[in-house]
Amino acid sequence: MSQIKIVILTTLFFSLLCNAQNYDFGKVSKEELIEQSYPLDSSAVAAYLYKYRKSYYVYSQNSGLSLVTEIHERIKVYDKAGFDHATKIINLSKGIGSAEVVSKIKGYTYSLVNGEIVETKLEKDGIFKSEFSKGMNQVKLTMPKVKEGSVLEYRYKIISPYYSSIDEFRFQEAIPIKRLKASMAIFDYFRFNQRQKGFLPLNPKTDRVMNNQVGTYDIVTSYNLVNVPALIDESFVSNIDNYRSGVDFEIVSVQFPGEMSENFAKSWEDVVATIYKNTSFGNELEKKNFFEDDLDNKLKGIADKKQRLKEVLTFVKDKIKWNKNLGVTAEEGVKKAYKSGAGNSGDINLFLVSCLKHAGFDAYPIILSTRDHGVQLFPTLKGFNYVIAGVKDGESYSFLDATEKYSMVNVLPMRDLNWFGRAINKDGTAVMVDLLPAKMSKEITMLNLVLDDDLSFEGSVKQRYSDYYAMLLRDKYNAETEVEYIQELEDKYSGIEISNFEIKEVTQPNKIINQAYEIYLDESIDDAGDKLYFSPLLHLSQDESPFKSEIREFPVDFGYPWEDSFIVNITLPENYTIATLPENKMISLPNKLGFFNFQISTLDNTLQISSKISFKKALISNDHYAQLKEFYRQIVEKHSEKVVLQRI
Amino acid sequence: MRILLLSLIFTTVVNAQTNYSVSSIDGPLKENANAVVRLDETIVEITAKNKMQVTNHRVITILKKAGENSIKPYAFYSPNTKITNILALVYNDQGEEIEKIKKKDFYDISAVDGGTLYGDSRVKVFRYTPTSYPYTVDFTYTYTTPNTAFLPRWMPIDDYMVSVEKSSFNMKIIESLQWRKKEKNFKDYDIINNSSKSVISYEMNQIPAQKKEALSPSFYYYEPQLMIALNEFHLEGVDGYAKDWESMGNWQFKSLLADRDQLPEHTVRLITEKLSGITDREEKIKKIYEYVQNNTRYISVQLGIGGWQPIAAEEVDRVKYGDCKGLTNYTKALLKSQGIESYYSVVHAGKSKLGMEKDFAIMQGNHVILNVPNQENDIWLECTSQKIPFGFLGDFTDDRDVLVIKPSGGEIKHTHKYLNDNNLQKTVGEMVVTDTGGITANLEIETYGIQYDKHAEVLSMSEKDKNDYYTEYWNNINGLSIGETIFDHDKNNIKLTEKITLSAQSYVTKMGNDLLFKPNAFNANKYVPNRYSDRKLSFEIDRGYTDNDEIDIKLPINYKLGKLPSPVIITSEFGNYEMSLEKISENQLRYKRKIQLKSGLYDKSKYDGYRDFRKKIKKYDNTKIVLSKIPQGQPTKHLK
Repeated sequence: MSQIKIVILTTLFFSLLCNAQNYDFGKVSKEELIEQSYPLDSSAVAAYLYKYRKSYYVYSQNSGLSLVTEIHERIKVYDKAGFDHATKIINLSKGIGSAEVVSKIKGYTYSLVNGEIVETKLEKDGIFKSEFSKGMNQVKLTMPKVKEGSVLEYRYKIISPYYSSIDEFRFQEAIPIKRLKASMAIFDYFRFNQRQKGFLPLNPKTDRVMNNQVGTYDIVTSYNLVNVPALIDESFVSNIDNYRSGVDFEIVSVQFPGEMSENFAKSWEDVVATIYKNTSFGNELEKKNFFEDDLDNKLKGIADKKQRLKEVLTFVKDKIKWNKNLGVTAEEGVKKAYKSGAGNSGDINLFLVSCLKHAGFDAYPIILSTRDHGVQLFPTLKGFNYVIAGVKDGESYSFLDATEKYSMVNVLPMRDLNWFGRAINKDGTAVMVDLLPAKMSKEITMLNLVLDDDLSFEGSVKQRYSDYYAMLLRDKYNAETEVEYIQELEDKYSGIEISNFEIKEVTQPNKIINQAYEIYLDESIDDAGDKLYFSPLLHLSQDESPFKSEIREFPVDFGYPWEDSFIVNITLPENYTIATLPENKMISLPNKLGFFNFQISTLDNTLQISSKISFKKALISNDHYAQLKEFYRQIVEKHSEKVVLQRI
Repeated sequence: MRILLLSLIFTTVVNAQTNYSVSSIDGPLKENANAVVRLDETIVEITAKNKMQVTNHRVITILKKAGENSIKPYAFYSPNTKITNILALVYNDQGEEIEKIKKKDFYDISAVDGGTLYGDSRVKVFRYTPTSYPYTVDFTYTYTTPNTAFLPRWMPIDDYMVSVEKSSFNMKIIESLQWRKKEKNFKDYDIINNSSKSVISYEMNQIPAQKKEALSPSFYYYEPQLMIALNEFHLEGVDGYAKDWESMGNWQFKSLLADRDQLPEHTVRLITEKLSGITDREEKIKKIYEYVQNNTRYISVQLGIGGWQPIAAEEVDRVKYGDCKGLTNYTKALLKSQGIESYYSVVHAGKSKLGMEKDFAIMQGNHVILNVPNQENDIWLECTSQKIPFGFLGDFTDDRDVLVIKPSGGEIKHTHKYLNDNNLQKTVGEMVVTDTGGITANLEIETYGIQYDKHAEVLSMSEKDKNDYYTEYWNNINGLSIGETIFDHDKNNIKLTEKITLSAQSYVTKMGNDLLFKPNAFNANKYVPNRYSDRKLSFEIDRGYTDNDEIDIKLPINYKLGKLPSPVIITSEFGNYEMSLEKISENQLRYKRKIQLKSGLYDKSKYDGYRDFRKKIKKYDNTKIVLSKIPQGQPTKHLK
């Protein structure tokens, strides 16, 4: 009971506080100008004191239906490093014969001079309009007379003829937001979806409001937020936008009185059906006769299913090269792409699906959103920007993407690995499929070394790479010369000299890569008179933790599960005995999510060391961050422990 | 008539080249090459001081993916510079045409870089998806421009890992125009000069590809370059005249700068008020500089002549922003209002030090700073930064020849150098080793010169970034946790002091009863430059530095110190290194270390010697010492 009271009280108190500030345009207060730093985050270089957006539809006889967005922002600059926020960039889509336009730009900079508020107007010479590219105009505004402590305020209006495409409502930025108000009004004639993302509770309010202009009701969704913290990027995060709070609205269908309803999308099924109905998707899957003979030739005499699957993938890669364009649908049309030899992801992978089907596989297109494009949690059309192929065997799928030369069955280009996709059935229905790789990619390194009397090590290295490791190594090796590659290897393992380098299976995908070379290492032993010290894993030691931050906001995304194994044999010189060895160690993260095992033993005058680090999941939740950090600290500690040799 | 002639030459050239098959490339040109430039031809015709036509014809065979960066598939233009002709052809390895990219197939985008708010420069670009390697791209375009202040330069060496079959340059200048030329770094190369009375003509053939090597100096220092300049020229509606730096400066002053330094009266009054009571000239300059820093910000707008002419000081005064030209000119105007003369100075900014050609006046540079004469010790001001201390330049504009523009004419002057001992870092402090193998430490890091420049970045970091920065700075310490950080930023003496407390759970390695640890916890060098079996290029230590470290180390009491390593002194032509460990008491050590690296350009034959020097530093920096546990039983026995 008393708890509820407190909640109510604080809410009241809060709203009182908020209402004390006047957010009308031009009503900047002295308090706002005096404020030295953002109260809840002193590291903020700037903050939105107020961020307002109102989007709604208007209808006119002349220009038909348009989407209007009003923006009003008030920004406080605390520090010189926040001056970047004094420039606002507005991107405006354009097409043939129509374009978004911005109007009624108005802005002022407020500063305190000798205790008085001084305002400076944003003049025309601070507003720049340009054609950025064929599909986009840009308007930039830069505020005048900005100094530390200034408050900037501007407002403008965007009128868009593209009424079914509503820009995302962003509720979280790189700087904090004190107060946010936003609303989206949609005609009753429209049906729409909204999807939320991020970790903030948004508590939208929905009202039906009479729209006198069209004589029907508007569905108005509104948001009222206070003190939204800044969102700052970290390493091992695939796409920070996945965690940024916001809302996306999507128009599903439009039905004006007396007219046929026009469908866009509403459920995953509808989204899929819409994509499928798109002639450059569904139809592309039907086109067949131009390639059948070529493919049959290629598959002649191959009966093994796995082998056939690889052959089809190779066939498609050889026939069409990726033009670096993304897309769910075919850009050129598969037939044309087949002839010209180049196409987008749609051309290539829809063609791949047709080829797989022709070769007798139960194949489906799988639509997805690439890493850069963010994870899609709600059904939306623009949520997808890519397509790959899936082959169903029983209940499980194998995934294939023929855009990259070194991809393999179930080893996809990194851009594809964005949580999940949707497999599309011929009837236009779809099922969700998990795209996160489950199989471990492995690196195995075997070192056979001899410790010489002059305290240098010499010997051979054999390394094997599978799956994602193999794909990434092939991408790297083939993008440069072998000399450069070896040089980088010497660089990576600082202190080694490489000779007799050999690498196998690196120019074609599928097989495990074998790499072998000889190395020479000196300066890795500490000579303390009668004793010698060295780290038993030598240059392979993990001597630094990748996780040094105290706290972490987002999950750690490795991309794929992995395992690194090192097996080291060192033959010791005869005039030494082993004085001390590090102890064996085995640790793991909860549920064996991460695993570390270090073993060391001796046999006659050889040392045998094995060390293994593995992660069985690609994605580690930030709840486990503290444990992960400690896990790595212990690995580094163990790897830095020394073997002590005693001179006889 | 002349244009007709030019297009005739042009057509012959295009048709004459027949064999672009890969098999026709000489073997040596394929070595170390990602791409082979088959032909790089520049044809220029200047028919008036404001009329120039340029045709670039580039044919390049891409041997592998990494070579694609060398295609250069773009052509820049602007309202006055117009592309009249553009075409790209793609050939397969046999030299057969497989694709034709016409004008309408080019992408047309804004060529304004991310740092610029607005500009009128645009670019046409083509994209081609290779279906197999190798392939050849044949790209030709022609533009006309009234701007002759910059003429195309000829630089026949293309890029690292790219070889060149033939590179040629042809320029025809109408007789009535006087011109000058400079051949730079020609002597080590086989360059054919075919020039006649009416045509400037050069070519160079069969240039093998060069591998990139660590520490090699910028291409600019050794590549051959041909520069040509007109005495009478034109730039975005403005005519110019220059035959040397003096007249170049004179023209720039008269046409681009004069009368752009007017200020509204109230601003002059404000500045006068601010300076009232200050008599020292340098102090006045400093106050004005700080006024600019506190009241303006950098915004870049490049339009037409605005690419070279500053916006008027009055305008900057009104909006309080501008680009390097505008802000420099504004500072100059404020100084002038107080009777202090200063000069607008054009520089080639960037980390590698490119200077103006002392003996050849040509429009050059990408940045502007302010020169304030001050007897023997000129003050240089970087007016675009709100943070940089008064009179400090940093590695962006240091140590290079710049054009100082005086009303009387131009003059080449050299900016401040920050070399060797100027770039000092002192680390002093105390480190306590605990008997559980951890450490705690109190440190003070003092930095000057270019080292100051780098360390000063920490001043503007958020708490999280700062923490991440230090854990990365000392990435050799496992499980490091940063305690308090206090900064003392002495802008007058251009010095930063960072006071830091830190701790780590497990710095020391335990081995049975022994503890092993590195006394150099806070500044251990790991860098050894790459090994080359056959180094081709000279190498450079670009600025040099000095690091001084002195750390007192307290050891846990129940341990006995083993034998300490002897002091180390290494002297070499690249610099010096000293390291010593001194026993202060049973449980206290003093670690001292000094490293001096000398700036300089060194012959390739010395590279291995430099590697050895760095290897030794790495070794001694990572010296370890042993502590052995005093057997516990003994003292008790003694007591009995």
